[in-house]
Parts: sequence; structure tokens; C-alpha cells
Amino acid sequence: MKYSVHSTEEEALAENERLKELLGIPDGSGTTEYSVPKEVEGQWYLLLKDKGTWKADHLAVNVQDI
Amino acid sequence: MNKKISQLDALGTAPAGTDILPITDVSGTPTTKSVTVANLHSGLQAEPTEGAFVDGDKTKLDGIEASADVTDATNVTAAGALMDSEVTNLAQVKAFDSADYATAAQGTLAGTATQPGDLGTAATSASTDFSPAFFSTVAETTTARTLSDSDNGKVIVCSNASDVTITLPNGLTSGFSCTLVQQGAGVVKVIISGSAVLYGYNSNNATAGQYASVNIYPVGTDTYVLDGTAQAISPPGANALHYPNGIFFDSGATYYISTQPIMHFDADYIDGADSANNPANAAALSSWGDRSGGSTNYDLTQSTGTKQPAFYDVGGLTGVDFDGIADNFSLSTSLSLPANLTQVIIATNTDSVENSLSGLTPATESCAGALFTTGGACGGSSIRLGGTNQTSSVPTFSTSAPNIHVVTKASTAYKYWHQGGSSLYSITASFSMTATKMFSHYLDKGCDARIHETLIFDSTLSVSDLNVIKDYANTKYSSLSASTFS
Repeated sequence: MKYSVHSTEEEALAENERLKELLGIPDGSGTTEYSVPKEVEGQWYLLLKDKGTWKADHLAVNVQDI
Repeated sequence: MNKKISQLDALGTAPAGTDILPITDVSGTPTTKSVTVANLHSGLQAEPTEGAFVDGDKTKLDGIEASADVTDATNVTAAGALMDSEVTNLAQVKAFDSADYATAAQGTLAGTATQPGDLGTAATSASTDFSPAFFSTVAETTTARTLSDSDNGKVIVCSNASDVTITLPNGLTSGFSCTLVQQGAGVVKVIISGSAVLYGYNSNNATAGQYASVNIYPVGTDTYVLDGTAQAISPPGANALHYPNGIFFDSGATYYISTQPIMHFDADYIDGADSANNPANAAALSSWGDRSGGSTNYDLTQSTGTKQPAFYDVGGLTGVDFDGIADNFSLSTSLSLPANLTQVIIATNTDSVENSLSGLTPATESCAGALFTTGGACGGSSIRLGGTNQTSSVPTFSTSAPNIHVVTKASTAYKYWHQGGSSLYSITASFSMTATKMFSHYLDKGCDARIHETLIFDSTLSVSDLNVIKDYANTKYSSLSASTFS
């Protein structure tokens, strides 16, 4: 699974907003968020899709395959 | 008797008729004669017994026009009366015979009797005189028409080059009938909706070809026979699962169950209504519509892009792919597990390592809290049923073909079937759950599977009904090959 990893929740949320803008979210069809940051041991992980409509592992920063 | 004037009564008193009045000649030789009162009255009209004229009587007479012709047209009309000259059917009026007309005693008056307009125009030799209520043609140029009462007795001329579907609903007026003509190249097919029933000789339900016609005759309440130059064509949904209030609801269909599911998610109908609205293969899905026709909104939604499964549509097989990482759906309305329940899932396992599947799942991401789940953190080598781990006789879910999974709940008795046959597990468990998600897993991970179809019933389906669903699934998913439930 690929994640965009950040040291603060604010950074992760900002990255999520940036990806939303790049991907055209909200899309008018029910999609209102791209991802939801999760905190694990002080790091904030933003799950990324690596295929399909919402593939963003090539767009995000600090991508790690975990 | 003669009297001297001095002998008469004083003036002012009416003299009697026999009283004599002296008359003295005052010229020439005086002579004296007499006249009686009666003499004076003779020749005069006596006062009428009703009394003499009084003041005002002359004025009244002066107000009467010369000749006093009160019957002339002007006077009669002014008085509101009707002159003969004004009546165009004088002879009929004068010949009026009450026996010729309805009376109130007969129960019907002119104002309440059936009026000519209620019956339509009486026909004459001119075709335009035939009432629309009795005979007329209706041009149907599209490929679909649902019959209504206004079509009663009509000839419906279908002219589309593509096949035309005529829907015969229940609730039409008693005695409804019509004729369907295939004027174009498109075959005219009749399907039913609601509780309507249509019979046809040799199961005929469509026109045989161009310029053929069929008649629809009523033979009972909402029951009809189709006859004419006809042929039998499988109606839409011939291989679909039918149940009350569903997209398909023909009680005479091959795959019909009388129990309506409370949820039915079918990848052939992502919006729950029309396959024509399906997205392209691999499209992310933010919703999956419930096609059960139930009154509660159980549509599935997922607003977060990284949790949205992908639509699968390859080679005529549809499904919804959950990635086993985060994909899952939320129920628009949560469901507290009812006393009795049946969950049918038709799915292909896409996890190359282990079984991975779930159905109704709670918000609290606990394996023990799930009705049915397998794979991932909930145990790839076991199946949890009613919150209870089952480690024996664990089947292998196919990764190349759809499998049918059935869970039934009858109070505290839970059963699980895989690919029909007899139930693999039959357990008793005290278990409760409020489902807010579908196809979720522990830690909010979705199951790793391609879900083709899911049905939820708030009752324990009979083995007989399960076999109808199995037969339907075996036909629809040719590689499923489930055996008979027992």
C-alpha cells in the first residue's frame, strides 16, 4: 500500500487538499474527499490509490510503499 | 196618494218611489200636475248592487289603451308569455304526450340520464363519425408504450423499425382491450407489470412480423389473453430474478420468489434502476443503488476516493472490485440485525492468498462483531459466522469464478452455505449487530473480492427459495455452478 507520509496532521490535510484539486474532487458524483490521514506513531499517513480513477501515487509527495 | 208640498218630508231624505212631486206650470194658465219619484227614475240605470262608481274609477279606465288588446304579441311577450309564433316546433309542443318521456317516477330525469356525450358520437357511414371511444387508431412511433385506459378499444399502430415493448399494467379499467399492429420492422412485444397476467397460446406474446396484429382480450381482473398473428419471444428479464416490487416482478417468471428482499445490489444496475446508466469499466464508484424496490433507502455510498471500489465490466460480466485495502461502502440507512435474516452474496475472490469476503458489517471494526466475514485480520483460514470463529471445513473461495455464499439467521440459529448443498456451518449464537457498512473489514479495510450481486432479506428464506436464487445465479453466472441447496 502506498502512502504520502507527513510529520503533522496539518501537512497531511494540506496534501489531501492539493490532491483533491489535482484530481477534480469534489467531482459532483458523490466523491467529496480523496483520503483521510491516519496517525501511527507520530507520523501521519495519507493512503493513496495506485490504480484506477483516483491513482495518485505519481502525484503525491513523500510517497512510501508500506 | 196626493200630498201637498207642505205634507212632504223635508228634503235630504230619499223619497220613496211612490212619492208624488207637484209640478206647477208657471206660464199661461196656471195648472198643476204631478210626477212621482218612480217616474223620474224610469229610464235610468239602477245603481249596481256592488255599489256606485267612486272617485279613481275613471282614472283607471283612462289607463286602458284603445281597444284594450291585451293579447297582442307586444303585450304577451312583455308579460313573459310565449306566443305560437315564437315556437318552432309548435306541433310537437301541442302534441306533447307524457307517455313519451322519462319521468322522475321512472328514476331518471333528463338532467341525470345518460347523455349522448357519454356514449360517443353515433356512427354513420362516414369514418370520421366513429367515436374515439369505440374505434380509432393511435400512432406509436417510439419503442415503448405503457397501456392506459385511454387506449381501451383502440388500434395501436406501432411503426418503429426497432422492436417495440408494450407494457400491460394492472389496474386498467374493467374489460380493457386493444389491438396492436406491427406496421414497421420492429416486433411488437407485450410485457406485463404489477399484478397483471397475460396468457398466450403457445406462450405467444408478440407480433409475428411486419403488418401482423395481435389483440389483447380481458378474461378476468387484470388478466388478459393475447391472440392474433403472434409469436413467443422471451420478455426482458426472462433470466432475471423476479420478486414483488422489483425491477422484474412477473410471478410467472422462471426465477420468481414471493419474498421481496430489503436490499438488492446488482452490478448490472449500479444506480439500482437502469443498466444503461452503468459507468465505464474501472470507474471509481461513489455509490451502488439498491434495486430491491423496498421502502427504506439502503443505497450504498462512499464519498472518500481512496475507499471507493471500482466497477468491473468485462466480457458481459459485471462486478464491483474491492481492493482489500480500504474500499467499502456505507449504508444510507443503518440496519439493526433483525430476528430473521438471509444474506446472499455472489462474489469472486480476488485475494490470491486467502478467502476474503464480508457482507453486512458494523461501524465498530471488529471481526467478532460481523455477521459473516473471512480474510485479513479476521482470519484468512477461518470463517466468522454470527461473531463466532469457524475453523473446520473451511472451503476455498474461487478466484476465477463467482461463488454463491448464503447466511441465514433464524433467531439465534445461524447457517452458512457455500455453493449450495447442505450448510457448512449450523450454529447457535447470541449475536447482535447494527450494520452501517457493506463489504468492510477489520480496521476499515474492505474485503478483497469482486462482488457481483448481494441480496438481504429480513426473513429466513426457505431452501426452496434458495434454490430459485441458485438456479437464477447458475444461469446468469455461467461459471458459478452451484449445487442444489438442501
